[in-house]
Parts: sequence; structure tokens; C-alpha cells
Amino acid sequence: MIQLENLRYVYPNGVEALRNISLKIWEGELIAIMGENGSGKTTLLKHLNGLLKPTEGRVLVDGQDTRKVSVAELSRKVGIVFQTPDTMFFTESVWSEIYFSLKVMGYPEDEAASRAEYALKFMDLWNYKDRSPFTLSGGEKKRLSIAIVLAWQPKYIVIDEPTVGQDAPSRRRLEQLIQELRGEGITIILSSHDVEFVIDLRPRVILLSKGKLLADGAAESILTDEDKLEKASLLLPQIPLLMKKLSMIGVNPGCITVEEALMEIGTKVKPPKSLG
Amino acid sequence: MSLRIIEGLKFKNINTPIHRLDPRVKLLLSIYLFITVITFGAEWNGMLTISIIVILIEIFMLVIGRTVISMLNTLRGALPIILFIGLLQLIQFFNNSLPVELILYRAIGYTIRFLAFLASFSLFFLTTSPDEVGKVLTFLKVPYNYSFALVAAIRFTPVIADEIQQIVDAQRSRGLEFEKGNIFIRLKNLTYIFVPLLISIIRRSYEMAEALEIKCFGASKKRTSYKELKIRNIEIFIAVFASILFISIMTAYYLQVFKGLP
Amino acid sequence: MAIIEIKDLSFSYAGTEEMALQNVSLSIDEGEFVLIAGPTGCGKSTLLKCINGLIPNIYSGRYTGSVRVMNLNPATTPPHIMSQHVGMVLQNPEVQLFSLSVEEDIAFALENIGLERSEIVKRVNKVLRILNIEDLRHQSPFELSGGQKQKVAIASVLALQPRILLLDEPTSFLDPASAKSIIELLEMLCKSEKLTVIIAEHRLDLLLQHVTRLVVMDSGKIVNNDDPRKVLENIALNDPLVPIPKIIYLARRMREEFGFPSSIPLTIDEFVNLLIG
Repeated sequence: MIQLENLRYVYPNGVEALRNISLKIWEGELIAIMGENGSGKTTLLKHLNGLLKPTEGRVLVDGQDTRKVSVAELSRKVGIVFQTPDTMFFTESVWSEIYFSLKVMGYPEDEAASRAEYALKFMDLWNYKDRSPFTLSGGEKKRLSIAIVLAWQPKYIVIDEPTVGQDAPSRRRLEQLIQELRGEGITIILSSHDVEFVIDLRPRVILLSKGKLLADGAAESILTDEDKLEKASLLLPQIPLLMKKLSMIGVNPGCITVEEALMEIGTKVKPPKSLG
Repeated sequence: MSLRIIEGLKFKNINTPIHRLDPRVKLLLSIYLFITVITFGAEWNGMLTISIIVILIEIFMLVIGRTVISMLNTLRGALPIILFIGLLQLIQFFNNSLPVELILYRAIGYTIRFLAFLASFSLFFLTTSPDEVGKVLTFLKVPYNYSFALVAAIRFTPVIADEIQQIVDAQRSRGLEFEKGNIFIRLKNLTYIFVPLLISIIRRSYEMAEALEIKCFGASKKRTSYKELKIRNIEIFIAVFASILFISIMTAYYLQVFKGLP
Repeated sequence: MAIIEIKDLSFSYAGTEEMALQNVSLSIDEGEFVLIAGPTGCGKSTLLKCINGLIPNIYSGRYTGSVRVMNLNPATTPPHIMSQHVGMVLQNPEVQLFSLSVEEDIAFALENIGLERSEIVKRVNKVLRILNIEDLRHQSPFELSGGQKQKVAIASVLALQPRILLLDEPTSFLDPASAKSIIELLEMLCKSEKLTVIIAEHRLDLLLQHVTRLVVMDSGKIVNNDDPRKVLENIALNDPLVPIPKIIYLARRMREEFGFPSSIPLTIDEFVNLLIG
């Protein structure tokens, strides 16, 4: 479990990025931390592996206070995948990027090799293992950055803005991969402002705005709540918005997916008279 | 990483009389202060006196320019050098043939001279925006390409600094520890920062080159200017006054007026 | 007559084997708002760069076919002349702003072409007013949000008074509220300033209601080029190239199952009207 207790963080230049955030993240959960750019999402994520230490309050990862443990230690449990994969590649091949990480983490050669193979195959990058990481496409780089973290099998995987800059095929792939990772029992924590992507995953949603925790609950209730989303400068996802506008004719505004909406409209809405 | 010395050279956008001064006048003043400090380098020929006077002038300007704290940051960064200069002289205490007052004189003298020297240009950079620096260079007939390169470098320094931070964060999250290990390990660890940084800078350069083409960079040999430097009467007065003072002091120096003064 | 006419354009970057563009033909009229969609690597950026002449002037390679933009040939016209007719906004706002204040950044391109100072002042004021960013005039670009930076980037290009504006994934790094703001700005420019706008993007849901044409690309070829409604009516529901927005997906499924609505709505309000009347 990860616990944030009255977390407050002020940057050296005086900006108060997080104000009094308290929450618990249980193992096995899928969580989406949402808010506009500048709401504090990335700042919060950096506290989870100790990159940032709280100005006030504390962060406990499986009972350990992050101020007392090194980032390298914490990273074994909490693997963070950052938004721009280009900020970490420096070897000549996809294979060596992962292998190198594992050696740094202290794994012996044969174990590092088998883990690297596992991670690359899981992320569908095995065929790219000899290619230079710099020649990969945006989506492939994203998958590689996740593979690097997956290789040491942390309990918690944190992904900062998984869909930014990604095209449609890559987004679909990422959605699948996140579900598969969950299937492996890994706790997944995402930060995103992409309401459409998040709503399909049905995670627990935590809304942040200007450093404050606005809401914490199921995607179904938070991502259909226009007032709350507005405060976080997010737009209502399309289906809930449509359902809301149709609610005057008795349609349930709580529908989230296309299939749910299809059934609901099918039963509640009559075809207009113009149809013979 | 201790980037404090850079802090002291960073322009702060506040509105003070010093900031409003025409940058050419400020440059002139800085040059005068600098040359004065350099010239008065011989012992017992006014070195300490002049250095103290120059420092007082600089402090006066720093206070009006509200940049005292930035200057102090630079000094904190330069502390090792300052202490070194002072200690180098103080070690002479072990040399019994030298009188104590000479050693103290040298220690204080050289230290203050160094501070005056640092402050002479620091003042210019703290109160002059990079754009203005570019305009001064153009005024001095430096080709536009060079002054643009300088201004762009200053403009993008915080962006690069951000990028370095992102890289450090990403690599630390992979288990790399930059604080540990002997000098060889630490140097090797630095490559894990420099390679991604270099690649990022190269990629940025291509994007910037595109952006510059889109904005017609280099299109006309006769580049016009949106904001021009305009000199006010008071600034002309200051420039003339400072020049007279400077010439007087230099003349006095060569006429050996200061001989015998500390 | 078309303001942009591309015939059989093929291009591959120097040193590469694959064709970034293959026999692309496209005709765009003045005042259109065109969306070029397709997965990463389909050739969207390459096509835009062929329109404003960055290809082949900056990026060399094997170039065949013809491009005519407002009676100019981008392949033989110097980039600084092209830029006064075709403006371009790039994906990353950070690398497009060079000066230390917004107004100086907008003036930058005008200084470069040697315009008289009085004219520069006029254009800077005009552009700040049209884009409604007068309050940002004296701010440093480094202090602006992503959305504000992109607005300034658009402003700095519009100051050259081009008739055509190209945008290469301008909302990639922006959050939805900022993205929406930029897109609405583009629609306004298209309508009231009579600009021809061509935008390459992944995120279709915010754009479909505003654009007059949807061009879909894949592997360097144009695979679809029509009114967005028509494209969305006929495209396969699980088309890998086009991420069909959910409401459109829903509308099509409804048609399959229940036989209505009769046409494909591009906005939620349209959808509601079709259902309730």
C-alpha cells in the first residue's frame, strides 16, 4: 500500500504545487490521477519513488517513509515511466537499454537476460531488440520505456501521461497493455488529462486541481460529474455528455461506453416520425 | 549541482532606475569600473583605496537596482576562489621576514579587488535583459547572426536546465545513483545524462532551424528593429560625467598622484 | 481555382529507401479548413513541409511531381518568400519562440524581412487583437502555459499575413481545454480572416465539427479525401487509421441496430437534435 499523509510540496522557486493531499493506494488497484497541466499530477507522481520529498507530511511506500530511503531503493518497488521516453535512452540497442537497467539494479547476468527477454516480449518489442532506440517510432519508444520498468517487475508501475503525442493504434495498444499488466497483479497508477482514454479503463479516479484533491472515487461517478470536471478544467467525455443532454427524455445519464449507451437509447428512444 | 554562479549573472526583470538605463551606458560604466580595478593593481599605489571606492559605487548601484541578493548568490558560488585568494596571502604569516601589516594589506586588498572585478560585469548582466545585450552588440556592429546566437542561448538556458532535470529524474528512476562512487564512476554516470541531452539538443536544433526558416531568418540583409535603443538626456549626462571621472582618475594614476596610498 | 494544387507528388528523404509520399494528389480551395489524419509516419508532416517548401529546400531527397501554392512553386521559391504566403506552426511550442517578450516574438519575423518599423507596430497590434492575447504582450514566453505559447506561435506566423496556415499536430502537448481553445481560434481565423487552414492531427473528436474536409493518409498515400461526414459514414468501424470518435461510432451502431439516425452527427448537439428533433 502507498499512503500519502497530508502531503504538501513547495518548489524551490516558491510555487506550492501540492496542498494537503491525503490518500491511500491499495495493491492491485488501477488509478488515474487527473487534472489539467499544472494541477500537480507529475509532482505527486515524483513523490511516489522519492524523487521529490514532501515539504510537509509524508509518503509511505509499503510502510517505508520515502524520506528515509534512496530513490534507487524505492524504484525497485515503484517504477515510474515518464512522459518523454527520449530523456532516458543512451545505448545502441533496445536490448542493451533494458539489460543495462537490470545490471544497474544489481541482477546477475543470466537473470538480467531472461528478464529483458520477458519484458521485450510482453511489450511486443522482441523483434526490435537490435535496433537503436532512437530509430523507434513514438509508440514504440513509449512501449520501450514501459518495458524497461517492467523488466525489474516493480509492485507499482506509474505512467505519466501515457497517451500524449500517441496516435490511435498506439493508444489502443496501450489500453490493452495496461489491462494485461493488471492481469499480472501489478498496481497501475496513471496520470492523464485524456478523459476518453481513462474512462474506457474504468479506474479509480483522483481529481486534482491547483494542487488540491477535488475528488476520489470510481470513474463512473467522477467522469460523469460535469461540475467536478469543470473545476479540474477537464471536459466531460463524449458519451456521458450525450447521455446528459438526452436525460430529459428519460435516458440514464450514467452510461459510459458505446454499448451501454446503445442499449439505453435503444430501449428509451423512439425513432423520429420522419422514419417510415 | 552548484549553479549559483550562474544565478548571479541571470537577468531579473524588475523595474528600477538601473534597469531602465540605456544598456550602452551601463556597458560603458562597467568597462570603466573594470579597467579602473585592473589598472590599480600595484601595491601601495592606491589599490586598496580605489578598490574600496569602486566596490562602494557598485554596492550603491546594486541597491538601487535591487539585485543585492543575486550578487550575494554569485559571491557564495565564488566563495572558494575568494577564500583561496585571501588564504594565499595569509599563509605568508609563516614567512617571518614579512611585516604583518603587509600580509593583511595584501589579503584584504586582493580579495576586495577581486570582488570589485567580479561585480563590475555582474552589474551589467543582472540589470540588462538578453535582448538588450543583443541590441548593444548590434550597435557595436557585431553581425546579427552572432548577437542572435547569444540571445537565443540565454533564452534557451532555462529550457535546457529543465531538460537536464528531466533526464536526471528518469535515470534516477532506473536506479542510477549520481551521488555515489569514486570519481571514475561519477564521470561515467555523467555520460548517462550527456548522451540523452546531446541527442535532445540536436533534435531541438533541427526543429529550431525549421522554425527560423518559417520566420524568414536571414531573409534581408537590412534587418529592421521593432524596439530601438533610445538614449535620454540624463543618460548622456551620466555617460559624460563618468567619462570625465574616469579620465581624471587615469590621468592622476599616471601622474603618480596615488603613490604611497594603500 | 484551387489555392493549393498537388499532382502526383512523391518524396523520399535523402538516405532512406522508403517513400514518405507516394503519388499524392490533392486540391484545396481557398477558405477550406482541412484535417489531415493518419497514424504516425503516414506522411502528414512530410506533406505539410512540401506545401511550404521546407521540402525540398531544407530537407533534400528524391522529389517528383508538382506542387503549386498560390501560383508559386515551393520547390523553386526561396523559403522566406513562401513563408509570407504559407505560415506554419509546429508541434512543440517551446522551439518556436525566440525572443524574451511576446510582442518582440511576434515582431521577429517582420524584422527579419526588413519591414518598416511603423508597419511592424501596426501588424503586431493587429495580431494581438485578433487572437485576443493583448494581455500577454509584455510576458516572457518561458512563463506562458502550453496553450498560450501555441497562440503566440500562431500570432508570430500570422504577422507575416499569409493566406494559408499549416499546423503540424499543434495540440499534441496540450490538455483538452487548451486544445479546444486553439481549435476554436483556428475556426475563427478561417471564417473571419478568410484563412485557408490545414491541420495535421491525431485527435479527431475536437476537430471534426469544424473542418470542411477530411484527408486520411497511410504509408505515404492518400486513402480518403472527402467531406468528413461522408468519410465517417463509409469507413469501417474498426478502421485502424481513423480513431472514430465515440459518438459517431454510437450513431453508426444505432443505424445498424435500429435504423436511425438518418445522418451521421458530427457534434453532440446535432446528435441530440436528430434523436429528439
